[in-house]
Amino acid sequence: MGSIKRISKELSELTESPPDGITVELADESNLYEWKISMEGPERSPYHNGIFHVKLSLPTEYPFKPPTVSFVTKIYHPNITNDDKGSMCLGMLRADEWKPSSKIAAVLEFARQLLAEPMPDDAVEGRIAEQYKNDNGRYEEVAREWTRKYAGASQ
Amino acid sequence: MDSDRMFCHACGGVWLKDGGLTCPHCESEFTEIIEIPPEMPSEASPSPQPQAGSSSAPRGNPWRDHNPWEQEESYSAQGLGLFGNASSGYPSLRTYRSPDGRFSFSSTTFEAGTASGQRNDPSPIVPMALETFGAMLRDVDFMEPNPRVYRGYGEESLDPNSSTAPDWLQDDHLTGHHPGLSPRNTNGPQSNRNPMTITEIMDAIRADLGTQSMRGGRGGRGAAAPNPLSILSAILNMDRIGDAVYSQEALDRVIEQLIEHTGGASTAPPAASQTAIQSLPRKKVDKEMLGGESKAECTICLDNVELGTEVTVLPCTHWFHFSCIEAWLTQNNTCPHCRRGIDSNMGNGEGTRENPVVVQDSPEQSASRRRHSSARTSRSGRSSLSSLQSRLSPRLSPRRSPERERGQGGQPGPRELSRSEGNGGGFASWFSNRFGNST
Repeated sequence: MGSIKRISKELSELTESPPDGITVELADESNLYEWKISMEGPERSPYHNGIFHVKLSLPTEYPFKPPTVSFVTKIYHPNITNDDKGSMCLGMLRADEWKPSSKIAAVLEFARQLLAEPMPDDAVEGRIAEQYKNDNGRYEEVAREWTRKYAGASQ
Repeated sequence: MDSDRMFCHACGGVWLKDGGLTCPHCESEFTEIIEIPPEMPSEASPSPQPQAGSSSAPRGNPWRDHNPWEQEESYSAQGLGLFGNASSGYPSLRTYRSPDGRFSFSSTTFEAGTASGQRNDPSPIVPMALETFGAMLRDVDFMEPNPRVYRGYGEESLDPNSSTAPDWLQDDHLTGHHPGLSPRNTNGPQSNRNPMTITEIMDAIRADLGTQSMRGGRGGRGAAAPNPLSILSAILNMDRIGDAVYSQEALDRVIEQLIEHTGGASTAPPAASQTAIQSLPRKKVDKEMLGGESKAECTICLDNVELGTEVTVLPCTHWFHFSCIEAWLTQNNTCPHCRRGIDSNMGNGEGTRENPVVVQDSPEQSASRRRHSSARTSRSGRSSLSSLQSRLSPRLSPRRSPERERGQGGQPGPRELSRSEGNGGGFASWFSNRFGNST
């Protein structure tokens, strides 16, 4: 399978030279398609000092179909569903926008960037998006609190 | 009140309700109870202003003040002159007749003799509109006649040739004289309202159709509770001329079909045809393609590609291993890197499933394309679908050359073709199933 070759290639690149604040490992050594990611909350964001566990699942059709990204750690964010799935809405991960030339590293960097800069106009949690736009102080407060509570931030 | 009357819609007979609900003249059961409204205090008022009293009445029951027999001579004999005091106002009767003589409607207006000279002149326009509409509905035989629908009277018997037309009605519009019973006088509720917009008129129609279907028992059509907007669209599209839909439901179905056409639940671009994939140029990687580097990688498999490796080049100049790009193109017809259509050198959206790549050196291909095209030129609705599709999803088929426009959609891809032929043509067949094939 070409996809296995590509996935292992990406995995080794990511473990050798991981992007800032991101560490990658397989959830299960025998399964290339489920990745366990740890993502540090970006500086100057209410998620700072939090460690967020993210699950990345690759479809068997990868790279022709996009991976899915979900936050295992609860997070207060307009673009991440506030349920037990923690699905992240990333434009580049939508089926019609996905390009096989996008790499997992880019996906992860994009995801972390989204923590720093939420996109309230593309939100999955409308209420949080409203708050982000209209009452940013309160949003940051809650997000910081959740980070402390769920992402083990020491502060 | 014991003086309620019955009106027979079959023969036009009138009798007291005490005489039973079945017409004593023709045994028809298509009859209607016409209630005499309760006496109003204004009747005894020293300065009778019948119409003013009517318009100030609560709107809850628009018929409350309505007196169907205000013109009836025998009416005074009943001693219940609500509006019967003709001296207090100037009833003026107008009869309109359609140019082709197929229907007519009357309006009776009262000019109250108030000191201020104020007129309470109900505009005949709205009742006219409603009646015209009602007549249209009947005209197309789309629904069963319903005496309650349009509150005008006379639609039942608009056709002078109709044997069931009551004589009095024919007399009416032949002579302009208004002799008697008018159970659905246009002076009714409409004069209380001023529905100026088409929306309001549609609302009224919708409400009436709603009551009709709720009452049920009026045959299958009534029970099916057709969306009034669909009915309207059916009427307006009797000759199926446009590509408009008139209800959310219909629009949803069109969109659903479009989604289906563009690759199921996924909104990803449609697949390229196998021919198109196979016909992409292949060449050995040269220095220029590597951009000066000694090697590059195929962005699909991420494997290194070195000088001399044979790759497939897309029109956008991005290149990939053939096996890699083939796997992608069987699902999408765009470059996996820049998303340009693989036929984008043509710049007209070829390569979509609706309009796949034409291979210049493949005569069979273009011949079969033409055959398919002509086979479906007669299908109305097809081009409408295509244009809607391109409007909804410009990426799929941005522009069509004039030649393609004539071809009405071009050649369908293999999957789409079989579906179209299987059910007789997608949108067109849906349309004809729904609205009846009038072509």
